Formats: sequence, C-alpha cells, structure tokens
Amino acid sequence: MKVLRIILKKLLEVLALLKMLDTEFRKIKRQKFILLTILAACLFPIPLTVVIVHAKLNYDVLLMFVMEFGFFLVLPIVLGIIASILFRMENENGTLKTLSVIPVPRWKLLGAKVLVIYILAIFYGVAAIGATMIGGFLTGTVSDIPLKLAISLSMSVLIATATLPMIAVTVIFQKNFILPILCSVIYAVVSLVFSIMLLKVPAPLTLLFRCSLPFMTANPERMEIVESVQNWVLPVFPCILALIGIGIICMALSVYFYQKQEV
Amino acid sequence: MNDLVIKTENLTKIYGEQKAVKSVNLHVKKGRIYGLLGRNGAGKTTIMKMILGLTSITSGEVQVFGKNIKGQEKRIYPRIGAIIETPGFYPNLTGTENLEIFAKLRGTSRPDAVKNALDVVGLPYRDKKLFSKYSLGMKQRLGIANAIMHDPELLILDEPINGLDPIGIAEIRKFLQDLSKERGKTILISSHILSEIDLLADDIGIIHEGNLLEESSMDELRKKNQKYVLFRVSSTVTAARILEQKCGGVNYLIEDDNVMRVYDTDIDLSRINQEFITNNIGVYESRVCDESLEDYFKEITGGVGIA
Repeated sequence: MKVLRIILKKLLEVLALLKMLDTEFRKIKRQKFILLTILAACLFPIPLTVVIVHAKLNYDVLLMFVMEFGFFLVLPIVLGIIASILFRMENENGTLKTLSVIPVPRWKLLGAKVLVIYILAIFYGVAAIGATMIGGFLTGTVSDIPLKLAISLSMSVLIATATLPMIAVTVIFQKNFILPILCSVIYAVVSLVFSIMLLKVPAPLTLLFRCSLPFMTANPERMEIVESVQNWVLPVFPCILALIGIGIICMALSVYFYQKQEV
Repeated sequence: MNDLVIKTENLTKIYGEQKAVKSVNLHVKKGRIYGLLGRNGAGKTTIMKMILGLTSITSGEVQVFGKNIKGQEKRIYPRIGAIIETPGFYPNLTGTENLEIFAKLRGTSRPDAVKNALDVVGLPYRDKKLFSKYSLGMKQRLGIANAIMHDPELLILDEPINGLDPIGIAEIRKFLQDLSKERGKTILISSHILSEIDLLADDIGIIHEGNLLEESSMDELRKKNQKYVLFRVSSTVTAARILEQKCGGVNYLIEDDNVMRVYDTDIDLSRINQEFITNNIGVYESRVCDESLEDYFKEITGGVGIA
C-alpha cells in the first residue's frame, strides 16, 4: 500500500511537470524570434553540405564541421538567446507577479524553462544531423546512422548542460536582455577558440569538446598519432561527471537567485 | 477574532532608508469589502504585496484565514484571487489563451471556468486580439477575470478600476458588491479614488505615508462626518477665546488664522455673531456646512485631499 502511494505520488509529480512543460510551450506561441532562431540553426548544415559536396569530401568531414560549429558554437548561442526570451517575457510584463500569487513555485517555473531548453537542444541536434545526413546521401558516404543519431542526441543534451552557466547568468541578470545574450556569445566563441587551440581551460564547453573529439573527428587515425591531441583529449566518463556537477551548481545558483527576486 | 480573514500586526516595510509601511495593523473581516484608501505612494500596494508574499516583510506579521502566511503559501494562495498594479500577462497570447495557461497552472477543474470568467468581465471568449493590443481597461478586466476564475474566497484587488470607463467602473462595482453580498466573498480593494471607496466599501482603512491613520466601518465614518458651523473671522485666536468664555465646552477646530469650525450646530448662531462683533472681531462668513468624506480625509492626513 505504501509503495503504491509512493508510485502514485511520483506519477502525480511527473504529471505536474508535464503540465508545467505544456504551459511553457504554450507561452512561446507566436514568439517568432524563437521559431526563426531554431529554423536558422537547423538550416545551418545546408551551406556546409554545399561546400563538402563541392569539395568532394566525405560525410564524416561534414559531420565533424556540423558538430564543431553547429553544436559547439551555434547551439549554445541559440540556447542563450532562447533562455533570455523565456525569462524576459515574464519579467518585462509583470507576468511573474501574476504567476507568483497562483502560486507557481519559482523552482518549478525555472525547471520547466530549463526542460524547454533541453527539448529544443535535442530538436536542434536531431534536425541538424538529419539535414547533414541528407547532404551525406548526396555524397553517398553516410554510414552508422543509428550511432550518429545517438551521438548527436547525447551531444545536444551535454551541450545544453554545458550551457547551464549561461542560464544562471540569465537568471541573475534577467532584467537585462542584452547582457545574458552577449555573455552566451562570448562564452561559446571563447570556448571554441580555447578548444581549437587545444588549451586546457576548465570551461564546461571546452571540457565537453575535449572528451567528444574522438567521436567527432573525421581522422581518428591522425588523432592517435599526434601526441599533443592525445594528451589534450579527456576520458568521457569523468568529463560527464564534471559537467553534471557544474550543471547542478548552476541550477542551484539559478534557483537561489530566481527565488530571491522580488516582483 | 475568528471572523478576520486578513490580520496584520505591526506590518513594516523598509526600502533602504525609506520606511514605506509603518507598523500597520489591518483587520479585514469575512464577507466584507475593505477599502484601503490613500494617495499614490501611500503604501497600499506594498501592504498588498506583503500580504501576498510578493515582497519580503521587514518586520511584523501577516495572518490570512487565521494562519501566518509564511510557509503556508501553497495552502493559502489557492483561496485568494489577486491583481497587483497593472495585470501582467503574456503579450503574445490572446486573453483566452492567457487565462487557459493560468487555469492549467492553478489546476482549475471546471472546463468552462475561462469562458465564465470572461463573460463576467465582459470580454469575448476565443477572441483573436492579442493581450499586447488590449487597452488598459481591457487589461484590468482580464486581470479581474484571472483573479475570480478559480472562485476564491478572498479577493485582493489593487486599484482594479484604473483605466476603466464610467460604465465599466459601475459594472465592476456591481459585480464586486454581488460577490460580497450574495456569495460571501471577502474583498480587500485599494484605491486613491475616495468616491469609489465610499460607494463600494463596508470598511475603510485610510493610509497616508505608510501609516494606517484610521480603520473603521463606513457607517461609523459617515457618523463622524457631522455638520459644523464655519466661521471666517478676522482672528480665530480671539474668536476661540470668546467662544470658550461665552459658550463653555463648545467643540471647535481652528483651521488657520481666519477659519474655524464649530461642531455644535445647535448653538445660537446669531448670538455668537453678535458676541464676535461686540468684541471687535470681523465676521466675514458664518454658515452651516456638511463635512464630506474628502474633508475628513484632508483633516486626518493634513494634506490637500484626494480625488
């Protein structure tokens, strides 16, 4: 009986979360900027495909470019912009005040927004890899489709996790619309530069790049013989653990500042 | 007192160095309309925000439905409907879409709750107009619809008639009166419009510069607004001395060097005029007046009155 009660309670919690998620998606109806941003991001692989087809390179090179630039540069910026819009639309119009007297707990509101960000990241990942595969079929070198889809899904989730510090910045500076977006752009660009320069900077996106390089590279054989790259690459599991730790700290900070905010 | 729905004890709010609310003791009784009257910036919104937990309390206590609100928000808030300042909604959604979101978040079970609420405030259901295109009056109506949608026991409405046209004001007034009289709802309403509070409220709290100056029923307040005799004379100090010498224990109030009020209207006006003139006091005006609620407000706030 006690087990049944616990299961029922958990089910109700899941239902409540789904309800929050549903309302969060309803809120972004007619938010043209969000739709345009996602659409533009999904179309990102097309010009790359044209370049690859034109240069007669294989699909793995196309995939590597999409992963490096689409996932490590475009996606964190897109997620930062979406986060800024999600928080701003409630702050600017006094809607947060109306929500607070329902009452909707702030941590739930924040959780639903973060979930939306994760779902959009997954959608972006699948769409980008899907578009890349279409390009790959043109070059006729697509292989290991399920594995590549699984990698893109995992990467989307991990990139969203590595973007959580920017969510914390958005929450802390939510009355300012431009600053969090600017921070997201700087964060993504600087992390990618650090990664390309093989710098050992403990930035979440750089950590993720260091452990995912073996899955992204189009030349695994070359990577194995270059010692500097070998030394730079990190094992996957500890990296994911570190990312989860950073994510938890950022979420705790976000909840703290979101709850503290007076309306 | 069990019939108190809201009770505050020494409620205080300090912003930086400024004391916005000073030891306010508010008593809102069950089933009555309590009008919080004060000029803009008097502290009405801050009090309501503290009651609703939207801003922290510097010191003091708030009890709603007999319970301290701190830690009981989840139980108490669903029994309250509120509008604080201008109602906040999603500008990219229609009124119906907005209310549907809030109904869902509240867990409102009645399927027709949104439609009913919109009907009550006279807004169309499933209209295509976005909230961003609403006039201030329509925004207020949507705010009221959102506040009543879940059939709360207590309504906290901060200046709900702002932006409404005269017909709209009359409709909302009638609706709030019906809610209170027929359905026993308790309403705490704030306004800077004295005539509105006069028409609507059963009880009144007058707030000025963060202080609750007066709290009473409207009936008691109306009794206080008695008739008086106004004298415009050359010297109120001399006139007051004459009054005390000739009439003894008379109840009077000196407004300034030349104007004074005598609250005992059964005094012999011609005799007093005669006494003043005999004692070389110039009498420029003497007449019987009715003190309005506005005069009373002026008197207790020491200010220039209210709209």
